[in-house]
Amino acid sequence: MLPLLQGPAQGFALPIIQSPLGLPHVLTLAAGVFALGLFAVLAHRNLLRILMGLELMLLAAMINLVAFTTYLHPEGLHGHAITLLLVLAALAQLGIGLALGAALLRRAQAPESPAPELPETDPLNVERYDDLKW
Amino acid sequence: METLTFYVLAILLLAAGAAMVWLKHPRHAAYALVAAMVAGAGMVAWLHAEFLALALLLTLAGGAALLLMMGLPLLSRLGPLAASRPDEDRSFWAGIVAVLFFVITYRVLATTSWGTTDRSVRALGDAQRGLNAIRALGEALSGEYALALIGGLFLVGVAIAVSVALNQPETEA
Repeated sequence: MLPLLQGPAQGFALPIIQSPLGLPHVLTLAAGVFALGLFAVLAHRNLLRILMGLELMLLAAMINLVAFTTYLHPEGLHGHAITLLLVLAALAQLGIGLALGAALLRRAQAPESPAPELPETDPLNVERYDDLKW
Repeated sequence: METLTFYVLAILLLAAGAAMVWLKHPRHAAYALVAAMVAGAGMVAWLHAEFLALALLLTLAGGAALLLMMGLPLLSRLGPLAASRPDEDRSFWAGIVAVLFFVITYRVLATTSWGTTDRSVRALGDAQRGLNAIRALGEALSGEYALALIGGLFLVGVAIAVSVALNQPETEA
């Protein structure tokens, strides 16, 4: 059995919820937000929605960094500095994503569109473009 | 009061995140994303990082709001912004991956001894108190994180250049 699944049986008890408010609560919340972003990235086919999912995942990472700094390293501000750098990355990612969306929309409007047989489908659907599929 | 604030912010953050995933129209999803970022900034403020919360609010939430609120109408002029929901074929496996991630993370968090539950101002070091935090952050960014900061700014510059290059009108040869 995987080590993560071992240990005393706890039934449906939620030990983090029952304990006093602390670091595990914040990390659990961040994990929930990250899971929502992960679901958005994996389940959506629209480029804009995938981009928004990535932003949500980055937000969860930022909350994690600040929580670790506040609870575990109150003498320093390393988490805060890295969070500010992450903000730069998030804004750059958003800018590039929107520009990519604009370029794809223009490409979809062009007469030599890559999928002219599917004119009614979403132009930002990643399935339309072989180079954007994974 | 602090517990109540935490749970209100947590519910707002999760609700806004869920709305971002499941709302049909991209513009509504963008509103939900901005709401999630505002709630995230509130959570950062709750963690006694007020300056960082303000920076997040102004740059990330404000920047994302500006980019999305101005960018989406411009995009819709270029072509239709189709409403979309999570793809039915992918939702099942994406849901399983997301739930597995959360369950495993929760299990790790529940079985780890973190050694501290005190997040009061008294527990903070001098560097994180009040105006000292801003000074210490500035010193960190101009000192040991200077290279990373320059890299981040370079990344933003590259993003602007690529955005402009991607949308250059094609010239006739």
